[in-house]
Amino acid sequence: MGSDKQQSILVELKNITKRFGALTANDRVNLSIEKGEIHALVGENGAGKTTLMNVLYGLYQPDFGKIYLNGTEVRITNPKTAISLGIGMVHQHFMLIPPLTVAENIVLGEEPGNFLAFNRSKAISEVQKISEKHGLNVDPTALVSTLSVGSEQRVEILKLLYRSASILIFDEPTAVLTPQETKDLFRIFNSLKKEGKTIVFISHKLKEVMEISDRITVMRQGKAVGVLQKEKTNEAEIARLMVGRDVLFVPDQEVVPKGDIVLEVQNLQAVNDRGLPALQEVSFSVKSGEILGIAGVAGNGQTELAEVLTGLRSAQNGRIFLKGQDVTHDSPGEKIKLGIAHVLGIAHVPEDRHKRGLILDFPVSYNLILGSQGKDPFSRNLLLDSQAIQKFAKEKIAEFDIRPGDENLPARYLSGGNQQKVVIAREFSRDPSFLVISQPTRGVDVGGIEFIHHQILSMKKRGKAILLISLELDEILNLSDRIAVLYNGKIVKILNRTAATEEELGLLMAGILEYSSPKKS
Amino acid sequence: MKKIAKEILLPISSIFLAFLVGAVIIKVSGRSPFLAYQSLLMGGFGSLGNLAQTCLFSIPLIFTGLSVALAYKCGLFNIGGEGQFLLGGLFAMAAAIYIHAPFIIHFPLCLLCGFAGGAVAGAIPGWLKARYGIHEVINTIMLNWICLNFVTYIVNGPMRSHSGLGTPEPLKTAVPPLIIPDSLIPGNQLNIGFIIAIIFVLLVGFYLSRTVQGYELKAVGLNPMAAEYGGISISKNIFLALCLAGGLSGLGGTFYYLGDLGRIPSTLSFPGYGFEGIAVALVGKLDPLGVFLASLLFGALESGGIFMQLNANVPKDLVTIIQGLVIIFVIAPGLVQSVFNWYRGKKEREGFEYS
Repeated sequence: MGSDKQQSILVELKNITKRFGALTANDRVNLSIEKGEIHALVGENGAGKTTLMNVLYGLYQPDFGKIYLNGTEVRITNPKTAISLGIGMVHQHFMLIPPLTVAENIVLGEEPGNFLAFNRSKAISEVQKISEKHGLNVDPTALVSTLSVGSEQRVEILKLLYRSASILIFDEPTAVLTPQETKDLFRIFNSLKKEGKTIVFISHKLKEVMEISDRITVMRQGKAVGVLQKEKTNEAEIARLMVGRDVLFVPDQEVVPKGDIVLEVQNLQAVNDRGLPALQEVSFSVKSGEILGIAGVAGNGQTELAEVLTGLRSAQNGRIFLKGQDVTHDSPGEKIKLGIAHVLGIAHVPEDRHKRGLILDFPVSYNLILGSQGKDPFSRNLLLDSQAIQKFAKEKIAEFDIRPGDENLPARYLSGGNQQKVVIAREFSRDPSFLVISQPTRGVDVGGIEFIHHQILSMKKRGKAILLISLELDEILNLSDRIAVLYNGKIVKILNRTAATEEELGLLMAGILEYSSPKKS
Repeated sequence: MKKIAKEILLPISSIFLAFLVGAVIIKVSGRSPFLAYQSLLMGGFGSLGNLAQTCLFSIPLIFTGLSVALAYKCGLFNIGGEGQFLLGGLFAMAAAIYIHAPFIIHFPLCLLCGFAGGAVAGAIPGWLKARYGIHEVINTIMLNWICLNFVTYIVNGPMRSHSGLGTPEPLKTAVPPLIIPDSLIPGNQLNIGFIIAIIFVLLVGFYLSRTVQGYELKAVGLNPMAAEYGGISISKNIFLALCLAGGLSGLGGTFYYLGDLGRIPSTLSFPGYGFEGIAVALVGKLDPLGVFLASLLFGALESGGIFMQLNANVPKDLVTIIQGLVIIFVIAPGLVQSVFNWYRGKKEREGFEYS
């Protein structure tokens, strides 16, 4: 079969099937990648994209199915084999050693020099050469710990190029980048393509897929459901294939009459886990019926802001007022008032549902009562009331369309989107007056995003004050009434949504403050 | 029901595999595995007397196994069973010797003291972990030695009996009474500890699955960050879990020294039940009911081993080897699982190729 295909096909995956226990992550998936193309692999979270690429990179062995490279069957048993075949992968989480320099990181494992001595200058010059050739613009002598996320990613790319990879796989490469960095990355993609490299990238951002790719393979529920030519398709068609139905993109914006100030923050200051300043002089207020969006690149104080507001971290300075009542925990030595958020009626959708939001090995029903486990009606006389818990879980599963609708299933076995729905169902059911919502749709599929956005807007309609923290600029722009840009622990500017452009926000997020909007003149 | 069957299938096949490998070892050593296993089975379950012996041996294991399982549910590895066992035994013995009261008060009081003694030995590492984050594995191991030497000192000093064999015997009102009268099964020593152990299996199961406190303890064990987010105190639960775990091990020591031995001997070494409790908990899949079944298995191996040595001339050490093999096969579920998967995968691959 493989031999009579066109010559331009570089890699072909045939009938790849990979199971994890009862879950079939890849179900007889076929994928063919042409030489020199940029191929996007899109699909909802849990559709099996990353699994498929891990199979190609040798991290997983398929249960069955075959891989052909240039028409001949290959067995890729580990990443080392993959690299020797010219296949390289940049993971979502970078694998770099921060205290080492860029050049040292890149040559690690294949250092120039002999058994006794490492030829540092040769390493530097070689890295420099490759960096310049592809316009990557990285200083080989810089310490990785001093690099921005975008530069770290370029170091990862250099690692692959140094090992003469001809097929480069990227797992959600733009998830951590600012819009400007994304533009840079795509410029690099194009230059690599010109050099004859082949690029496969995983994404669920359709706008980017349409911008950069040549061909698109759509996956749904472990199956490849379509291969599209970029010129002959559009975002709506891809989304339809991903979700299996039509998807609304921009949520309906409704103007809700704003009420009184619910939350007011004055001069807030806090440190991160390493004791370094994470928030400085942060002041803002949120009114009822209003969504204040916090835009910013990851690591600029978002985590700390959410934690301070919800009592999981103490403030060093400044005050937090909830409906005029001072709710600050400000002496750093003081024990954090656990669960204070829930006592005060603050709902908190944490940024990382696996880290804070869920207990993955607890059933869905138990997760839905986390934080209320000791309260009526879920417990009486220190005993859990399993009937009440089950009843509540069934209601929420129906209301929030959590699938599969089994309240006894451990949360671990739900897809990312459904896990997030569990968190949102729990937090929104507290009837809070103020909501801190962090990364509500991170790793959530298109259908789930739509649903969650709808839920957030309906909370706003009910007159709740909402602080929305997100790394997705589109999300901030689509949902917020006002947008505050957080950079380096400071709020650099608060804009009205109607006055904000993606370009201006992008620059503010990158710390470039001198920007004169052409509209203003 | 299907889920339970699946849960049980793996330990059962692990045990089966362990015996299979054990058979090879017996065969290689030139003896008959058939005869050996027959006498092992006889010794463990063959007569009412042997069965009673099996149950008796399982009592301390049930307690130490529950101890390890409970701590593990809170994400803690309790290696301190030995020390808690000893200190619990010491507290109970002191109450049994120095307090004079009728049985109905005296015996429960001894249990309470035994629990408290173990809880003290659990509380110290619990506090160190909760307050200063010092790892409980280190703490509990170190405390084992402190407890051993402390108890040795007390037993050979303040509590030394005239005979010099160790402590005096407990007062009659503090000795755990036999369940079955001697006239029915002559020579049996199975005491009420077995029934109390079963009650504790149910109690721990109930605590973990039905109470708010159990919910919080498990939440801390499974994801401390999420527990904290849910308003659950990590340090409080860590401390509590190690106190309770210590108390359970302490009860094991109580029944062992008040019942089986009738004193704490002067030449003291680690009794071994604390460590064996780890094995029991792992074989029992950290589930109270599983701990109970695993304790019976280990109890049967213990009582059957003696029988096997006499009857089949197979050294009792073989029992230790089989215990080790059971643990290896249970702890390395991947090993057994991979055999299953290989077999299933083979069938499916075949099905796929021809479909």
